[in-house]
Amino acid sequence: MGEGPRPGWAAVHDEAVALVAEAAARGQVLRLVGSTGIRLHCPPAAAALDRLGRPAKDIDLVCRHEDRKGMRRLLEDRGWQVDRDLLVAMEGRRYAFHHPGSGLELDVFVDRMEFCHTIELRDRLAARELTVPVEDLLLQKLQIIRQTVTDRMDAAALLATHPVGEADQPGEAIDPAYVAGLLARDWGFHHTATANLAALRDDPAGNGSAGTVRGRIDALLGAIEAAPKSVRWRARSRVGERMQWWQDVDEREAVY
Amino acid sequence: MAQQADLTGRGVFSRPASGLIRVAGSADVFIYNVGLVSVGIAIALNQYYGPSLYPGAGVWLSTLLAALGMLAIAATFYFWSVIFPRSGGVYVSLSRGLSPGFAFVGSLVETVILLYYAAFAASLIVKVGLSSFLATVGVVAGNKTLLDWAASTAEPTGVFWIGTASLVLAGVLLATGTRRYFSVQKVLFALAVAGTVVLVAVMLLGSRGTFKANLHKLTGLDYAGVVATAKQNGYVTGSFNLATSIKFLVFPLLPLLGAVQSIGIGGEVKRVRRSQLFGMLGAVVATGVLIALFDGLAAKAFGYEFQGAIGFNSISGIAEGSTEASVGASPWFTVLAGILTSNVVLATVIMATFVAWIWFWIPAELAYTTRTMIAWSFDRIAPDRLGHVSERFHTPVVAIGLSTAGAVVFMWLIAYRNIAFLSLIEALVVVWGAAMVAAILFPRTRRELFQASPAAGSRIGGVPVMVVTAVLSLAFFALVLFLLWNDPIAAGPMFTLSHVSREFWIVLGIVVFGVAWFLGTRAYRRRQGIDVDLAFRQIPIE
Repeated sequence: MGEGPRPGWAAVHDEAVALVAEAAARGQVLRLVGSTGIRLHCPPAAAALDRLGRPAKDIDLVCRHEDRKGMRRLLEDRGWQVDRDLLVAMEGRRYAFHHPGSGLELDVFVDRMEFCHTIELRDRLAARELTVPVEDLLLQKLQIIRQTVTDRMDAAALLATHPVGEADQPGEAIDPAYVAGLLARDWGFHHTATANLAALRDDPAGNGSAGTVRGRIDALLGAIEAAPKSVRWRARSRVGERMQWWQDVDEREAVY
Repeated sequence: MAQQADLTGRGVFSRPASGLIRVAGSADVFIYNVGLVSVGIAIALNQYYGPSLYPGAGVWLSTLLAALGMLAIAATFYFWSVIFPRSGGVYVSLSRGLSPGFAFVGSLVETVILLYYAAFAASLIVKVGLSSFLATVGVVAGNKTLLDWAASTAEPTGVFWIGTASLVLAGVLLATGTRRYFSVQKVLFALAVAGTVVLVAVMLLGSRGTFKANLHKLTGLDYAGVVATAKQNGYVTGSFNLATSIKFLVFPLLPLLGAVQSIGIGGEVKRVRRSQLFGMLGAVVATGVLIALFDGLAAKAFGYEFQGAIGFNSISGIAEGSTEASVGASPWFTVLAGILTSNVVLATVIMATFVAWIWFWIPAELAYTTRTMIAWSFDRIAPDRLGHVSERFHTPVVAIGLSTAGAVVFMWLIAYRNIAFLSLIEALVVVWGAAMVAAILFPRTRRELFQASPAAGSRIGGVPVMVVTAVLSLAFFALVLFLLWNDPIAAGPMFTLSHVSREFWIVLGIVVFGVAWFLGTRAYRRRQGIDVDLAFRQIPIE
């Protein structure tokens, strides 16, 4: 895609934080996901990503479906322009915006993130102040059927900076029970996520904390393996890879 | 390129970073196109008009020839849909591939024609579906009330109000969302297919003798007497004739044209290459074979000559030789099949199946025209309001409302003025023919765009397959236009030196309005500081 100079991280950071704060002031719940969410979730992850040369990306947000109207007004008040083509195609399940002033791009997902696998977020949106919980940030990277190096950098950064299990402060550790429970209900998601975790364990994206990351992946895989699986999971596992186990994700092609 | 983990093993390429889960998959596109073909309308028109007005025509052969031509057209539309995977129909390809002004005017003509056909389908729901249903079930069950209802629903007021209700229902369905629309269509499609299987079984198991006996018992008509009456009034039976079969192909072609209209919803289709290929070519093949099959089944159960005779009597207004006097409905295929079963449950299943098949046409036509309007709006040659997406329903309610309202106007004209704009199809052929001309020129005139598209990879002897299929399509359209122009039964000439048809004035009016609108809007936008031509010159972002 042809692009001008990327807006710096400071611009992305300031706008992302301001949007969440402004939404809260208006009584809406808006939370960050994606690489911007990971950077904002914890400074150590941002530092790790900086070391890996991971560029600042665009802004990805999640809102509740009842907040869609207010969310759109909020963004338009701040100069964002909605992608009308996508508005028709997505029918309120997703929005895309462009800011002509800053050149930033912004996506808003409603209640859930639908990619290769679906992550339900509605009941977890308000769990943290700025972003969705760390487990969902990680799952967003693990659900990708064709991970890029940057996806693996993001996942590795989260694992390098968050222990798996109990933490001193709520939300600062990856809850293995939550991840394992979710994957125990969906064989397809389980298959993709465990394959991605295994690939990351074998080559943790050049991260300096490779040993730590490997240990945490093993802990997470152990919990996932141990979790009792649903009847549906077991039935689907018998079919295995003979049937496609992920949703097709189309490119957002240029609009002519 | 960056190293990637690819669980699919499909090679290394850039993952769509902010990819979309679109609404319509391969099955949805296939059902959308099959619905736009409307097997029910095709069978009804084929068996009513074929043996009666084109004696000697092998209806099955006409259908297969039409399907063959449609394969070339579907292939060309498929290439357009992968070059420009967005909604808007031929407007998108014509505006980027030929001329923005022509694209707007041509797609405006197309939109009006398709709205007419949406209303036409709604009228068939009443006549071929509901009225025939009530009549057949009424006569099979010996229920006079149903027979009275059959007669009253076929009156102009019944046609208008029930047809309008069908159109509004289709509009409301679309307004509630494309996802819901596709879900409803899938359910109806399953029911229609199941009903069709029942119908095939009925036709296979029902004998000519049973049909003759039931015809006499239920309607008082004598099988041989119907044929004799027709012959006395000028019906001439013909043995199989290839030229007549070719002449008749324009009838099955009309519904088959729908098999490619998923080009109109390209922006909502996931895995566009696979979905559109399967959806377009699959729909042509599946419906072409199925519709042709029913000609054989009808000939077996009813007899070719009888179908021709009773259709001839019906069209000629010879009451004693048709079903109108006894049943209150024209001898559409549905009525004859209902008589064959002489069973209320089976007759109900058959009628419901046809209503479902005909219904498919209505929301799909409205959806197509709606997407064209939105594309105009996004290109700023129509008011922004036309592309407005409701914050409540998240659908383009203004465009849907306008399409529905336009179809209701045609519904009124069909019901109360008994209009039949048969030769409008000629204008549609010209517009779609222009899309074929654009396809021939496109690899040269928009070389960069073409080379960047998936269509560039398909070549025969170095020539893009799109060009080959477009040439074949253009030749087929030329044949169709010739047949329509020279056949007063199917359409007739739009104009001659001595006569100008209503349809010509309608098309001319739309063209004049379209040209004035386009030029006026372009000037207006220029005063606003917006150059609308930029949208058409833009090359894809790489």
